[in-house]
Amino acid sequence: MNAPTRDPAFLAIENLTVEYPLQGGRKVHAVTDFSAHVMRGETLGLVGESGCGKSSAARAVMQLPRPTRGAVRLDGQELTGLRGRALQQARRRFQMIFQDPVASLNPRMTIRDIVAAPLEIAGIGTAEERCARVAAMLEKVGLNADQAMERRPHEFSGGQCQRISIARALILEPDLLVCDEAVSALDVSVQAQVLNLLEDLKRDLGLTMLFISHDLAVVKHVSDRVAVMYLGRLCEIADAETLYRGSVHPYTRTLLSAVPEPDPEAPPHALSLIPGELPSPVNPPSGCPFRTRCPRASDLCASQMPQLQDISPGHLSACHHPLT
Amino acid sequence: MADVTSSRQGTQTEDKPQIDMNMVAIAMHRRSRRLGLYFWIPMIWLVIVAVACIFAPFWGLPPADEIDWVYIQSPPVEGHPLGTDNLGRDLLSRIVWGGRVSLTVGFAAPFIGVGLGLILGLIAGYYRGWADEVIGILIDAWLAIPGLVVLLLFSVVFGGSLFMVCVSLGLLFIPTAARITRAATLNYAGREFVLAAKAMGASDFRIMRKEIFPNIIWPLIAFILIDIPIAIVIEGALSFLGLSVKAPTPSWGGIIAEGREVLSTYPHIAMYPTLVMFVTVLSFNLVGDAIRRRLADVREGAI
Amino acid sequence: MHMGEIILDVRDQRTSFATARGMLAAVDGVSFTLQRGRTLGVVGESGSGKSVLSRSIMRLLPGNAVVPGGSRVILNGRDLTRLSEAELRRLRGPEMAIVFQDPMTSLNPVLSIGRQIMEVLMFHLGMKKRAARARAIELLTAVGLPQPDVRVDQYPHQLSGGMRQRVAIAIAIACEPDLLIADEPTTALDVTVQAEILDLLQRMVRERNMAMILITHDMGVVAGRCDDVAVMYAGRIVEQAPVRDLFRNTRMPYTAALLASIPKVTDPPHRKLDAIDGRPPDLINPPPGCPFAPRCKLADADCDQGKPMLEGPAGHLFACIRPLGQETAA
Repeated sequence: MNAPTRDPAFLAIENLTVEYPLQGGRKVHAVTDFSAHVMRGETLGLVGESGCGKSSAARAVMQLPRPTRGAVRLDGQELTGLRGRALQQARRRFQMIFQDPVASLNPRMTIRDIVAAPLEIAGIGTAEERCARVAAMLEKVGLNADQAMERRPHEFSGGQCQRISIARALILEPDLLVCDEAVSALDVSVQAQVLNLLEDLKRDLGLTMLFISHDLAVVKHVSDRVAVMYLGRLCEIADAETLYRGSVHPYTRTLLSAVPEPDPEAPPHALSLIPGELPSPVNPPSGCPFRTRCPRASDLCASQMPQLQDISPGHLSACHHPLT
Repeated sequence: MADVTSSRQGTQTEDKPQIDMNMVAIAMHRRSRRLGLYFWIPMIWLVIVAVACIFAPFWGLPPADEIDWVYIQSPPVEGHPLGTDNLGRDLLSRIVWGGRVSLTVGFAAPFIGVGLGLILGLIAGYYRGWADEVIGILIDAWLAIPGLVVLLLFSVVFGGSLFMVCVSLGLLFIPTAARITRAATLNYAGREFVLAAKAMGASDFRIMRKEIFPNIIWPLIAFILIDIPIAIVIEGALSFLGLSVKAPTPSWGGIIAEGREVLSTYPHIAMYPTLVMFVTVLSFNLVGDAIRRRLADVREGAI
Repeated sequence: MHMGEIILDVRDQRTSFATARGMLAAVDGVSFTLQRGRTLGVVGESGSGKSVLSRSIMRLLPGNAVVPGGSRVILNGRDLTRLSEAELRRLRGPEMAIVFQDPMTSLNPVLSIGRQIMEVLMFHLGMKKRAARARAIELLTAVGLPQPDVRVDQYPHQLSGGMRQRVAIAIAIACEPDLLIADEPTTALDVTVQAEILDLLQRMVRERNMAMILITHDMGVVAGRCDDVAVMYAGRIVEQAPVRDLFRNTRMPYTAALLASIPKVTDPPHRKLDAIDGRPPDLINPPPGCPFAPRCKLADADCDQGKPMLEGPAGHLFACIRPLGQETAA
């Protein structure tokens, strides 16, 4: 596939921690000690329920804002230490697509200005050159450039807005694309179009992707490997097929069993969850964060934080009582 | 089956009246968005006043400070359509020239206030943190000083300069303008398109100028529309007290003040400028309301 | 009980909106009946008219909505289109109730949740305050809210999204309605919570012998929870069948295309999805024929000649003149 590079991991996330201060000295522990490596040309899926820290992790990778602790290395370059112009220069290499296709486009700007903005900021080309690149990029994401350029976002459907977002993110030819719930707000038929587009672009442009979603089916669809997060921590990570067929973490199993399958004869799911709420990220439980809802929890889980353990090559899970 | 027959009926009757229904719908929609007479009548008045004041030198009116010794304190006569004042000066001419002062203050003061408030509000709302706190404290401190004291102080120090009247009034509009800007900025600073701009490495200045400013301009325009009549009224009150532009420069408040002395004998001297000012301020309010209602539609994304 | 009794009979419901560009036909001639104890799933993408349909049944439409005189909504033998707003208000609660997508906006933020349930009970059933409070706690217990006697005095913002939706359901079922409409009840919720809420709704329908319309965009949600499914496209029902039939013996090409475009957990990674090209038609100037024809792989010139009617054999209705599975049906 791709030529081997010096650094085996193209994107290396090490011990990423994101905390937001609250009044009274308390903190929201959005992400705690999250580590993952993504190879060049690979897609890492990040799943979890709302509040699990997946979006915070994605934004920390984007340095929006930079993480509280930990390292993010892209192609060997440490991003967390970069400031000012150096960071601005580095940003060309990693771009992001957001959830809300309409809200992520400025309603007062034309599509031409929106897609040209990254080029303008980076000071690339003359106005005409930029315009030509915008047109080419819009065609690449499946929009009619002639018709689209001078219009404003509200004249487009959600799916088309997301194509515009993709065009904006890719116009600087980044190496890494972070997709934060990029298709969650779209209807299924449109979602399929955008997912296919992302897959095509990834192949054509050799992109490395970090794909965040709450939808397990969507994540499996685009990912080579998948990481599951709960309350800011990594529960389990494995290649997609292994995680969906042979997960060992009770939370992953629960999540998978809750997915409603579009098949009336699918076996009724057995939800093995202790009813209850996601604990507060301000005051996470001691030990394993999932223990308050886990049917297999023991005293050990309350006293000791389970460490990530190798289950098989490339399959890691953080649980004292893994399923088999 | 009942549903089958009914839908068949539906498809048959649909074709012809369809176009009519569309026209009806468009008409209904237009009607709900029409500006109406409450906008157009005051608007016409404002245009008349504005044209009269802006092109005051071209109407062949006698100079506002020229004394006609033949007619002193005269009711309307040939050559003086609104009569003359205590000193025999042409009242129409004085009202037109005085309108220049009122309108200048009416427009300049809100723009000065909103301009400065915009900068403060943008900084406070975009950067949050200590910048927000410092600006908040400054504004609170500024609000603690009574407006009248500020106006009196400016009048005493800079006495009579039209520019300084505009500035002193403009300063009074800053706190509200800054707060409106801050709230609107807060609303947009967290939007994903601002985050997207940050992700592409846009500078803070660029984000404020290109991403946030075009979105918050509408509430500020609405605010200016409210402030124009307020500024005109305050300027009128200042002139009335003799704290605005110096005599003999006419201003509406000043003419009313002069007319007050002879109110019982020659009521027309105070009445005409009062009437003009009243109708003008009312018109600004009515027009402003109509425009603000339309701006609300614009902000809902209809443009 | 009266299992086969028809609770709801919707006949040729049409709902349009006056917009700047013309009349937007959001619901364009929908007819169906619903029996006691049954759950009808209404599936469609955004703009298909499914939510407008639910509001048309509840008669909760905004001012610019236009409903022609031929539309009928008959609930328990009473024609809702002929009732005054006051009469409708008395029916909303005891005979029909709705659960919305976002419980935060449907609950009043300044009233305790107990108070909100009690008001419904006191208004419709004339209960006294003490009795109403006791009943409110019972209802909160029934919808599985933990510590109902404590929660009864809490405010909506003190509850999580899933709990708020439980409260909204408790309010909806407080007066034992015959018809419950759940409009995207789990769209705002996480998957694990979604499963719990859907289980709860299903249990309530069974225990109280209600009829339910479950409106959703998610084929996965209807697959496991409904007796019958109606698929909507461009304001019309384009296929309606018992759930198994619809998934196993899909006739309408739109339904098939929709099912094919859903990514499934059982698929291998990177499988190319069968997306539906194009976009739904403009509802102000709809195409003359089948609304799906411009995007349909099986469409031919005949499909542009008039809108196909919803018909079919043995309870499996579809609005298509070139249906799938023709050879097996013949």
